[in-house]
Amino acid sequence: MAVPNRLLNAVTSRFASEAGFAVPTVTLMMVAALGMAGIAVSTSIQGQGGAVRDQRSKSALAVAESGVAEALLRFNRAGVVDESTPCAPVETTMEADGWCGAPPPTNVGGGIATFRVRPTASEMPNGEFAFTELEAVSEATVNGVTRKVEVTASSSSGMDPFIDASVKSKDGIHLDSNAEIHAGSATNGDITLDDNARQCGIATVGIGKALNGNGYFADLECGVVGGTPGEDEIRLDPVDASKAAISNDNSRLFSQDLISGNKSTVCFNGLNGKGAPDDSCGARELVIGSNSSVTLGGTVYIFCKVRLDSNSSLYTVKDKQVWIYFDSPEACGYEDEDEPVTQLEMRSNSRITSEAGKANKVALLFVGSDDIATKVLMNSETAVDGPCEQNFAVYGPYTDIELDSNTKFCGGLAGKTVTLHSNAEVWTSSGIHEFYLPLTAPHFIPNRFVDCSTAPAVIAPDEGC
Amino acid sequence: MRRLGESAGALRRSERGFTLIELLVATTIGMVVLGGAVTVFMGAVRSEPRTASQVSALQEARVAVERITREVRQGMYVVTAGPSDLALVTYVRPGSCGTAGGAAEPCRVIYDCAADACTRAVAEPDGDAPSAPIEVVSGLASTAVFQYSPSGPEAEPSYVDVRLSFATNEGGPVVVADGAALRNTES
Repeated sequence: MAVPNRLLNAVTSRFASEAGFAVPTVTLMMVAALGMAGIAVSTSIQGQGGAVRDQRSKSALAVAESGVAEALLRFNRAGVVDESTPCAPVETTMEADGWCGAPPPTNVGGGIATFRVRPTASEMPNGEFAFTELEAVSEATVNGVTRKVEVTASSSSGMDPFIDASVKSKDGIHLDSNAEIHAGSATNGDITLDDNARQCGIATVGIGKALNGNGYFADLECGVVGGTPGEDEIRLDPVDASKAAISNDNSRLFSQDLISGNKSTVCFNGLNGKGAPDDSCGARELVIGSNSSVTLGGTVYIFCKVRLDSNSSLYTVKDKQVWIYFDSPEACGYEDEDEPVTQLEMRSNSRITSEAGKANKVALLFVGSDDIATKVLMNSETAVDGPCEQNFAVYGPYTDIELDSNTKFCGGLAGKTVTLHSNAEVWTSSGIHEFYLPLTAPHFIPNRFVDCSTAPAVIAPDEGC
Repeated sequence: MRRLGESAGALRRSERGFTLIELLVATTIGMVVLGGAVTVFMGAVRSEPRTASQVSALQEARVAVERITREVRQGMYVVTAGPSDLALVTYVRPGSCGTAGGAAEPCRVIYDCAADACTRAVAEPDGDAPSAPIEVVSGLASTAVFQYSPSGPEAEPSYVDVRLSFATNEGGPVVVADGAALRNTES
């Protein structure tokens, strides 16, 4: 047993010893391997440096754009901004350079975004000021890479939504048989013309949408075949009634705004024209019974519902621009039901018109709602003697507009949908091009984007843009 | 005998370190490995100018792509939409096309790719008074640089894809690609 033990010890000793060629061989191999790996890593880092910088640059651009988005969001959410506190939406004050102070930086996706804004007011036709333009500059740094962008956005306050078309709809325009539009039309959806229905005037449909039917003409007199209408996107900004809700002329009814006809069939705010309780109308609801009329002497009214029974009229005084707001169904306490809430209903032979006779002098503005459907229903059924039976502007981006059979409307229509039933007609009015949106919610939409240089701004935040 | 055996064992145990054979074997293996490493290293050294050139070209391409996409991003509308030529009206630094002012101004920027290079020129928005073309990237394997969406004869592109392709000695071409949507279109 001694010999095997000795042999085993020798082998064990050999393996345990560090005196073989393993150490220098492995060392050399490791040195060589590390050298090669070092070269590979160095080359790789060099090659990917640009890619990493590109990635950081894109991230910085995205973060900078998020700053602009936040600025726009703050202003769009704020509603009408008072002229004396233009920087209220960003909770800062105006600085000497004419820009609002910078709100605290925002950490977005590993980058820091800082932005500054400059709201610009302009005078509207009625002398009021509205913030119609907003300039936002945002700068962001991600891992040492800085990008700066500038966006100029405009709102519709003071703008004429009917400048290019008198009939506008977000979702689509539908003409039943024999209905006609003698005006330019524009929608983000389809235009559907049933048998013998005619669209006379330049029409545009939404992107990827179509005009269905054969009655498209390019001129108001239906003499020139229109071909394929253009595709474009229209913009109908929401109505802001917050100011009208505070300051309005509702109290004039019926103390100063007098009734002509049967006072007991006219009702507002739960009281009839004689001052007696009347359950035919609720809060801010106006009902004008048959063969009666009311003349509005004020300029701003805000209702929940208006109903004109047959042969009734709602007049506005001459040479005054009258704004009649219809508050949101939520603010009026209406609930979501199967049928839309009809906020304006005009029955046979009823009229809303100004003594001046121009469409732009009476504007019906519907706040509407995303959740509760609202509707305007006009029903005339009169023989058309004059050029226009109804002569005003209806603007309700969230409200469906429906013209019943034989209605003749003159002015501007803008709604969620516009439907003309058989034999209804819409005509454009020269006065509609003088219409302008009052202090609607300043829904700022970007119209100029500049990817700025990132040289340090010395004089103004928009340097390099 | 026992003492002799112990003495021999001690002698063997005292031979710590490397024997000649071990050193020869280790050196041979080391030389082989080192030779391989040196070969690789020399190859890397020899190819370094080419690699550096490619890296430089890539960097040049990145700058060019960045510049083109930046101008596309600020674009208002595309005037010419070809695979090797792009003309668009976009915001560029003030004074680039005549008018002076403190803010970026709309100008027509014309990219034209022919042979293996792309040039850039700036003109007034209607195309008048174009500047002399300046080469912005070279060494291209293909002049089909631009793609558009939507595309087609009547389409008004709202997105431009930029793809710069460089030939390499081995393998396929190296491509630097990016794209941007026009942010100042009317709609």
